[in-house]
Amino acid sequence: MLRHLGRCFVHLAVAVAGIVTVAFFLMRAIPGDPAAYMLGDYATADALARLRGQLGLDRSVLEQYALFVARAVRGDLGSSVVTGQAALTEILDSLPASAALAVLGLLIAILIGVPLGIASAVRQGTWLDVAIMLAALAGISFPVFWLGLAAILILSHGLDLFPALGSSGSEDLLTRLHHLALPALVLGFSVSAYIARLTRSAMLEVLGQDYVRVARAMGIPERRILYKLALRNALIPILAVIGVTFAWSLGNAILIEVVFSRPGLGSTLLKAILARDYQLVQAGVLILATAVVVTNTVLDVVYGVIDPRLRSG
Amino acid sequence: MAESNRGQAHGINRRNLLTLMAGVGAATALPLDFSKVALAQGAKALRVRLGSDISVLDPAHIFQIENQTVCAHIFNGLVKYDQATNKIVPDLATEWSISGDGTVYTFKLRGGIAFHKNFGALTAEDVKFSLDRVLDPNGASKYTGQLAGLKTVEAADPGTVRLTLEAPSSGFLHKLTAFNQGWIVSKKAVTEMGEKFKLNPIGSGPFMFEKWTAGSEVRLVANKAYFGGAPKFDELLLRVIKDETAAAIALEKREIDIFYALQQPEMIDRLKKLGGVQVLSRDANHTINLVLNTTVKPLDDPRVRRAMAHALNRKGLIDGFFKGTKSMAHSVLTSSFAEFTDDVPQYGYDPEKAKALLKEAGHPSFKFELTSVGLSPYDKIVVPMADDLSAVGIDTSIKVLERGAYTQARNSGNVQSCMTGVVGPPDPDSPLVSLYAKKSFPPGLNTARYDAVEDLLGKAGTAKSAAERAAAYKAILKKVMTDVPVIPLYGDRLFLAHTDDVEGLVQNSLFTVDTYSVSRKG
Amino acid sequence: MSTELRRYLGHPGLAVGTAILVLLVMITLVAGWIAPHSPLKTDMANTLAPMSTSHWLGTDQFGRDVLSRIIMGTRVSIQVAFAVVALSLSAGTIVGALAGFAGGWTERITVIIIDILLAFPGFLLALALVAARGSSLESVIVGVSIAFTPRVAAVMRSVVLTIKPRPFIEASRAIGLTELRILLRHVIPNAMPPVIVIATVSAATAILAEAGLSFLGLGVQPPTPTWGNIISDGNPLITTNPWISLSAGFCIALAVIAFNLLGDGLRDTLDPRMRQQTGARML
Repeated sequence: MLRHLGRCFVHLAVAVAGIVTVAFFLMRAIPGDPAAYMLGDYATADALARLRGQLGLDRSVLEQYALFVARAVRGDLGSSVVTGQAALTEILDSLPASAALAVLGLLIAILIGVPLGIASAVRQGTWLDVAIMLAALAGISFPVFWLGLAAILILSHGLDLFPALGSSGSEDLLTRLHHLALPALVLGFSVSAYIARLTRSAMLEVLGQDYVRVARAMGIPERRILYKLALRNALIPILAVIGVTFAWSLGNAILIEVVFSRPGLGSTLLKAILARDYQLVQAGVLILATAVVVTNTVLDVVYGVIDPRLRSG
Repeated sequence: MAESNRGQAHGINRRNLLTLMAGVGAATALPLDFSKVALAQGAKALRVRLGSDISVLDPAHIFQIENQTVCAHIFNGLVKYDQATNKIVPDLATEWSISGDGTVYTFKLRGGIAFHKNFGALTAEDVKFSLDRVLDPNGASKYTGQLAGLKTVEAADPGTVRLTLEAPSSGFLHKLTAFNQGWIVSKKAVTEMGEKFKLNPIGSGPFMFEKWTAGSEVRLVANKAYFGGAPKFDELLLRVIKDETAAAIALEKREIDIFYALQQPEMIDRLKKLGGVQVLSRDANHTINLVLNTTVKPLDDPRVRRAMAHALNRKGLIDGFFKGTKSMAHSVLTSSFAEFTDDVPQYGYDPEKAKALLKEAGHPSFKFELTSVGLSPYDKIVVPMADDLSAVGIDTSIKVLERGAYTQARNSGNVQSCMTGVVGPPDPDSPLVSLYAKKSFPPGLNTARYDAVEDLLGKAGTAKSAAERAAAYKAILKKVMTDVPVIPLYGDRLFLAHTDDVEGLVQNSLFTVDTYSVSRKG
Repeated sequence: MSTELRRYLGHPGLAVGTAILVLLVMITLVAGWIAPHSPLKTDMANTLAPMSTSHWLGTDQFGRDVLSRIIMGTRVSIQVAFAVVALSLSAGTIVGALAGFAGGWTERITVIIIDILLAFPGFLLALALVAARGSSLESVIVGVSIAFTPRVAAVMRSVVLTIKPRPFIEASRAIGLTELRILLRHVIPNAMPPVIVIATVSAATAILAEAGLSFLGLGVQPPTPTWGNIISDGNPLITTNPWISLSAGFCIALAVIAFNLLGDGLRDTLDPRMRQQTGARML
């Protein structure tokens, strides 16, 4: 077990180092001069040169890389060229809103997706299975921003159930939840379709295994087979899906945040990308990728706990 | 949880489904219980929609109408435009005098004005500091050019500021109005905060900056000690809502009070018909223009540029796309300027004449790229424009760039064309100098790289009388509309919608919204 | 052959998915002939016309026929899907197969790189790449393909790992075939079934990604119609002229459903073992 843990953490460390490198060179590959953008229409050559010096843009790429790594180790990811704020602060400030959306969305997705997937697998081939799978297919087939707009039109404007705006300036927890509900529902619906499909496959896979057949033959009640054997064994692929989905919802949160005018990592990154605020993009991408890798590592550890056979992997 | 052996094999599913359905039911029912919360919060806060996010709130570096809207609440100038009439009226200065030769301006400051958040009293030193900051060639202010000709700023005593010009300038007061370079900042705050001032603006206006949440909102709180009296709201929330449909629904549901920068003609129409909502509109101080780079072939030939002006069906654009919500433009000065005239060469929609002019110039057909920015409506109106130009033989393609890339492309000067609207005060120099003066390129907005009105611009600045001034500007407009380095497409018109709950909103022509005068009914 | 055909047709999802896709591909081939009007010709005197016999789906803000734009948009969107599949599949397959087949350090390092790239949310990666290159059809294709490639490579590698220990590979070595030849002649062809399934998923995701990029204003340049930019042009009009946005949205859903049905069906018929390896979305 300890060995498994150790392996997971070494892997994590390598991955984070890799992410830092990729994030740096990715941004360097973007054409255009951040200093020119920052100073806008009336920049003078002098001011440009001075700003380039300040930002370290006048040095060689390798020097810049070394500097970036040295700073990153100390938790300094540069600063936004637009606002002048520390990039890390800006990213971390926008993280809670994204995390709230991702977590609530995922929760809704699991609550809808897993039971539907199990129901569909157990009733394989019946009308229920077909209906659930068709609904799930539709769920993954509409663009998420389109679902968001439809939700605003129908649930907010038509039925008056939710506010149209995905956030409010209020400090009040209930109000904030109220505004979070619709974006989370849209994200959750979209992701639940995906989770339902994979839960179904995983369950079918397990239900087709020899030991399940043996258990059935031995007369163990179906309900017990489902929970004790099937669900437990199907949990690993389901967990894997949740890991993947977490990454997916972080990436696609941009679209939902824009539709619902919610703050968050997505909005911050989109703003940074459009403004060519490369230090901010760098920091955001780095934090996002790290969050994904950390989630995966945690899941790896959890797999090891659930299924000792996976520890070697 | 699977310890019970009772029940049938498949009973589990049904129960699961039931639990699930109950869960979903609860989730949808829950919000109904506190749907009034949003209203309660609205009582003390005024909520205004912004079309896109803000970036920098330092007057020396400010650009973009959303930033200007925020700053309009935070800062004051020596003088300001009356929101309704565009007359220049006192703001921080209660009175001013101009020396006989027109080169020395002396302003008497209002007494007892305090900066926000205990940054002390506003004195002549702060005024000097603010203007010097814009003038500083190393300060990289975007507005250094606007204060060109201002030689020195002196703080004669804490309540008196003296400005000395190199030469008399008939429109100089315009440059000092509460907008962009005219906004007065706290010296102490800028000195202490440095870079951080960009997002911690300290002014003397009716609202104080509280917090910016990227992608979502800007929160300002009332400055109870404001010299004009405390605002009628405790808070001003500027909500970023990109999509107009979502903004309209939010207005209808009373989640916002004011829908600022309403663009979509269909939305304007819909909101006008909606009960409980008022739509205001006013002609803006700017036109939206197609700027042609006069240094590249064949656009260097004025006949080609005139041909393009004749090729564009601007009336069709205004009626068909904007549904009449914009106005025809004869030059880059709209009717809101005192210097406006329509006695300039005009270019009606005439494809045949366009073809003839192109033939005469020896360029019956050439490749042309329309460069535009990915903001509505700039990214939209290029579509029919490209179609019009192609119809007379100009093989036109469209290139829409996002804001950062667009600014770079325009600054590089390596574009055949771009779309520019000079949003600003009713000061004719604002569009004319920006678009036609040599000093506006590079860098600047004179992407046309046009330089044929240098003398005329100088003359207009030093005009002694109103008549002389009017004649000078007329000469400029005649010249630039003969050469057409810039084709004015339409005069912009601003639309604001607000709910019936609010009253006292006065729409200005600066393209910003100032909510100080607003109160809630009842 | 006939049993295979029967199996193919007997799978309702597969049959329906294939039928829709054949229809869409046919539309892209004859788009120029069947579009009732020019998809680019503006008519400012007839903007936002309601549905009528001459304009079945009405006209847009510039008086262009919406149906014609949807039809021509089909061509561009399907083109994006196929181009992304071709690019990411060839690059991903080569990298993944080489890594899986070579083993040792080459494999370990490739796996680490793939893992790192997988940590970057795909849509975000595509977004940053398109923003950097400037919006254009090629940028969208390249951006989405690059975001896909590590995902394809990861699947390919794991598939190759299951093929490598099989007896026929040993046999090929024993008769003296070169490694490259074994890779090309035996490993890659045998790994194809799962890769084809991945291809359908990439195609579906590419269509969604194009729409998402267009929504954020980073899609294909106007006036070229794509389903994505028809939706985003129609969004502000959704309360007054909902058909513009709705019809393009349904087309996207239809194509994505078709690709997914095809993928699910192929997975069931070609390689039932890989049930849990594919999701329906990759970005």
